[in-house]
Amino acid sequence: MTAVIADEDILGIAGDLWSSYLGEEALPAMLGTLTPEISSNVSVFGAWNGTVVVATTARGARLVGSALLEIPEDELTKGDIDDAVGELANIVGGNVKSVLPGPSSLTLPVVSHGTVAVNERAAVIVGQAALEWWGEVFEITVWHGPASEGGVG
Amino acid sequence: MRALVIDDSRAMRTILGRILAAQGFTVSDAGNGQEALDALTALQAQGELPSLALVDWNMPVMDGLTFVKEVRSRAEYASITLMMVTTESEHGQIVRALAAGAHEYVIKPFTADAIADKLALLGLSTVNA
Repeated sequence: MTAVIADEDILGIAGDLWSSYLGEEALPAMLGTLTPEISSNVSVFGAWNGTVVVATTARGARLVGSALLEIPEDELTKGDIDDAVGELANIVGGNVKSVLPGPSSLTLPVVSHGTVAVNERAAVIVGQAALEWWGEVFEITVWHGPASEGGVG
Repeated sequence: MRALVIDDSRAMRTILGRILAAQGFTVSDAGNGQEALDALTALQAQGELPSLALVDWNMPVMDGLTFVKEVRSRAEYASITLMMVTTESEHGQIVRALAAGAHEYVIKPFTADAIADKLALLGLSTVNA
């Protein structure tokens, strides 16, 4: 049986993350409004297999990088932005893993420019939520299916 | 007091460094367990061995659990308090980390107050000392 994670649980995890590190609360947003420009994902291996993806706009990624590293947006390097967005996926993924069947392990985050490649015939979405923060949308998607470091399915 | 922050994310090293600096620590950092062992060697040579190390679990090259085991196998590092700071929250993993020699375990995301509370429990709070 496929474990499903409630959208409210994803919003709760993301809410804790935003309030802990990003200063200003993120609000729930409508799914499907985002054209991802940068995505990060972590895969879960073990009793449950799948991938957690965090996607946002380029500006959303810059805002997160600036807030986490406390440096102006125009001083951020590509590495800074990838690091910050990767850490979002790491934290969301780790907390999602904690509510799924275990034991399991978590991969290091992988950052992609654009969307994460997903074979939708082999993987299914079991949880999804969107947030808005400083006018930018962040979508979190939990895929269940064969996982790899480059994506799912 | 000196602290060593070990995390492969620069963002997380920045956040933890900020919290520890506010608690009165002088902070060094490393991007993985091997870099941290190298940093400890250098700091020991300078007579500045840290009192505290905050250790992520999932890192490239050498993960946090391996680092904890390495530090605990070396008598010269016996004075270092080890605190895991990680997204890994399964009960079995917490038990493994504590059995390996970690003194405390904090799950991300954490607040600055949560870290301060753990430091106080460990007798490492310098702000209100």
